[in-house]
Amino acid sequence: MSFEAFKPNAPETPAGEPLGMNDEDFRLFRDFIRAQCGIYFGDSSKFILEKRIGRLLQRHRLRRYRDYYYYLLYDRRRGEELAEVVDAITTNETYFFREDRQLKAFSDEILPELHARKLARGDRSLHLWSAGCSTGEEPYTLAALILESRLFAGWRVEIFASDINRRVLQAARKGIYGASSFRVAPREAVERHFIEKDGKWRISDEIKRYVSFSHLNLLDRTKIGLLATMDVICCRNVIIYFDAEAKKEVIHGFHEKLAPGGYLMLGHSESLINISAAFKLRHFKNDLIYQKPGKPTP
Amino acid sequence: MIRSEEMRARLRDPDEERRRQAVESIAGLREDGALDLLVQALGDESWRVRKTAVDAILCLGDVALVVDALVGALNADENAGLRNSAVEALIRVGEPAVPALLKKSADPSADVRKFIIDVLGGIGDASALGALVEALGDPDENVRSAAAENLGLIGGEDAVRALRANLDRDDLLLQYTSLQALARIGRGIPLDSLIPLLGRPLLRKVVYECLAYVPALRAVDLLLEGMRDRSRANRAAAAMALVKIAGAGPELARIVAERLRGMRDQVDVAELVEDLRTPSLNRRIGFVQILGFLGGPAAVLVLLSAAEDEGMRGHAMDALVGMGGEAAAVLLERYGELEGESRAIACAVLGDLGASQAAGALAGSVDDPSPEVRAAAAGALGKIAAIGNAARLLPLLDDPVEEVQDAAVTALARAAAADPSVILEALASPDAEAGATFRANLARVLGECRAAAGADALLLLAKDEDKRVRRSALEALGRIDFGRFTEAFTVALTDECPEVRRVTAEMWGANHPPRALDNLGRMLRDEDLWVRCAAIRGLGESGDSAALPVLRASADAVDGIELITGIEAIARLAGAAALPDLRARLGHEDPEVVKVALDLIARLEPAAGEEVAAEVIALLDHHDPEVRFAAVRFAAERPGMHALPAMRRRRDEERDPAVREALLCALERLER
Repeated sequence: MSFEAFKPNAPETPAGEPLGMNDEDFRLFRDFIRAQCGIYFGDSSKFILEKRIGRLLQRHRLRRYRDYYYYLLYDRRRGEELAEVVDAITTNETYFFREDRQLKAFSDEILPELHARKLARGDRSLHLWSAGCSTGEEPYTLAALILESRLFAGWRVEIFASDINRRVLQAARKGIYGASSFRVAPREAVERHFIEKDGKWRISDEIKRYVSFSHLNLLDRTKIGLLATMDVICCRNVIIYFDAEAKKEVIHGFHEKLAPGGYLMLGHSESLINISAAFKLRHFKNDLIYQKPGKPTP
Repeated sequence: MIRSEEMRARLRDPDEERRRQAVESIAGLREDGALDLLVQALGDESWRVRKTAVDAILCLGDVALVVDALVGALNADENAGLRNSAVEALIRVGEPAVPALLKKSADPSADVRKFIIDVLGGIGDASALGALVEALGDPDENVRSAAAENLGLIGGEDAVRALRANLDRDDLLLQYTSLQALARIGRGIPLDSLIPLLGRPLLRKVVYECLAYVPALRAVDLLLEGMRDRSRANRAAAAMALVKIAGAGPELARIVAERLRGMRDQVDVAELVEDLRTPSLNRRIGFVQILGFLGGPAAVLVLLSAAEDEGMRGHAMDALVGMGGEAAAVLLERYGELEGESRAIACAVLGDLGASQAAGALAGSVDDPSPEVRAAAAGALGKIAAIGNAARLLPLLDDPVEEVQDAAVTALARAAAADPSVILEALASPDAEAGATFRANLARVLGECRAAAGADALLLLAKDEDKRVRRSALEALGRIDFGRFTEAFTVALTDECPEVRRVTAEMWGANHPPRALDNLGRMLRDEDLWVRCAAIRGLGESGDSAALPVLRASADAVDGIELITGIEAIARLAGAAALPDLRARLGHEDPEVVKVALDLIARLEPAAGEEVAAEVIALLDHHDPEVRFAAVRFAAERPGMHALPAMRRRRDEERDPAVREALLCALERLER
């Protein structure tokens, strides 16, 4: 999950269009959104919030942000509307085979390690979680790497891919991508795992079979409890949008969900400093990756 | 004392509705004089007023007085409306009215005697049999005839004996009515009693009707002869009787069909075609069956046309199927000329006949412009298990008409059952560009044939971009083996579409494998109300007592439909142990919750204990009339509750008409 580049809203309020978002409205929405899904909008992001919430006001023919805030609090259909807000404020720009070094560590070092460890226990299953999967590029990349490793043929491989935004999940399930999604993807991987038609590429069923999509709020421990215990959690460029408290809670949830010895892959600009000391930082040849301490249960 | 004059005046008001309201007011007063006024209202010119008066009279307590007044009203020969209303009311009084009616059965007026006979027959109480038998000897022929007719309504051995005795009397009207009554009772009569009566043309029709209940070859022959009778009404009666005899067993059906087929040349099919225009559906159905027995190309085409009438469709198609290969040959020969509805019917019949020689014609109809034909052709291809035509059926999964899709799903599932390998190969690798409707229906096919070999395709469809496809795929996987795919069903609980989550939660509840309790417990916090309700229901259906604390905690935290679903689930799971949970909801602010709790208590505790009784009695004064109504019904069924004083007090205060009526009826029942 990532945010679109910031574009300030033109300060015009012709009749029928929303009036501007004042500081008090901004504070109300910021805190409401943080409480609902942990995403935090700093003061410098006020205009982003104003622009995106403004579209929803127009849809309801409301002019005052405060009225929409009350709608979210009191309307009978507030649950559905909250999902609309989440869809509006989270946009998601990503691409296949993003962060090459980390993926190299995943395929050349983590996967063989997991394979050996699991084989020794007679466990032929592999569970991964792509948390904040956006339009599906990340989980499908992981699936392609697992397939190409040839280590897990005949194993039960499940990649759970979750996002809080329903629209991106819809795109992810569809699995059809344009050229921008392949900006760093190796050509041979694209040819192997995609079918080209009319300038678009559709993910192969072979890859699709590995990936299941879920609509999850990373702060919703109840729903997260439904997921299986994971060997790898990949949550890249997501927690940067959370405030400190929410970050701690999400990371704590990942710690609970990971098997002992399981791996946590964060984005390159993200770290667990001041968030959690429950993980150790493994120095792989290709990258640094967090790992949950403890011996895997036999 | 009732304000008689004022009420009498209101009953003469020119406005019908005001008179009707006056009747309701009189019923509510329950004072001396009310009965007379209500009897007067029974003769009102408006049927609405008369109907209200009948209802009101029946709510009055003193049955003896009511019956006397109503019997008295039978003398009102100047007012037919009054008499008819009195007859209706007396029939509704039922068995308690019988002694008073019997006392009046020797009334000097023949009209009154006839009315009394009609009421006794309408009540149908066996204690009136003696009086009816006696009335067979009444000096008035209408009374005798009415007695025979009503003996037919009451039935029984004694009635049959008396009616049969009438057949030997030289009284044509009585013989006719007695035969009619015997036919109504439907008891077989010895042929020796009936055959001589065939000599009297006026009795022949009713004799044929009686022969319908004599399952003997001789009776069949007599009826076949009747089908050549000079009178058309007699021929029709004989035909109907033959149909009835054929329905008595397969052997008789075979004989009737065989003999009718033998006289095919002597039966006028054109007349039967005309008979099919009779307004009586039962008779039309009978003629259709006769045509089926007769067989022949002409009958096939008549039946095909008769099947276009929706009321007769099933019977006409059964008749065609009963004709077997003969019908198939004619239908195939004419298939090219048929279109629309008649072609659709022909497809269905060919399918039911398993006419494999029709496979080509049927396959050619799957792209017929008529959706009815496409659906019927698909259904027929499925029935004749035309596996080679599976590829022709596949496009119908994406047909714009749902009925056609459904037929194709069923047909493909049948074909897959006959030879899974061929069909599954076609189904498991759908065209990547196939539409969502196609994919959803594909999932349904795989689910319906329950073929484990289709599981891989279904697991992929369960990840589909379209929610309908995911839902269908999950339902299909559930039909194959829920326990084998619990991981997919767990992920589906986090689907972005509430409908998919709801259906999945229902399946967890219905299958309750290990983890069901934990998973459904988590779904109680879903953001969608109906998903939460499905989870609550699922926990109730789990049969696992460990779900009880979860359900109780949930019920304490919710309201509305969730609370209603919750207490239903608790009652289902805990049985009588749920009583405290339910009683706690009798004081809930939501009347719907109170009503459901009361209803569940009624089911769990047929005899209310002292504490429950006190709580329900308190509900008689609830602000919501629906709750008061439910409380009255609850108390009315439990005489041991000692709710009479409270109900009497409530009766005097109650302003809601439905609750008041319920109270009056309940009090009458309890006081009796």
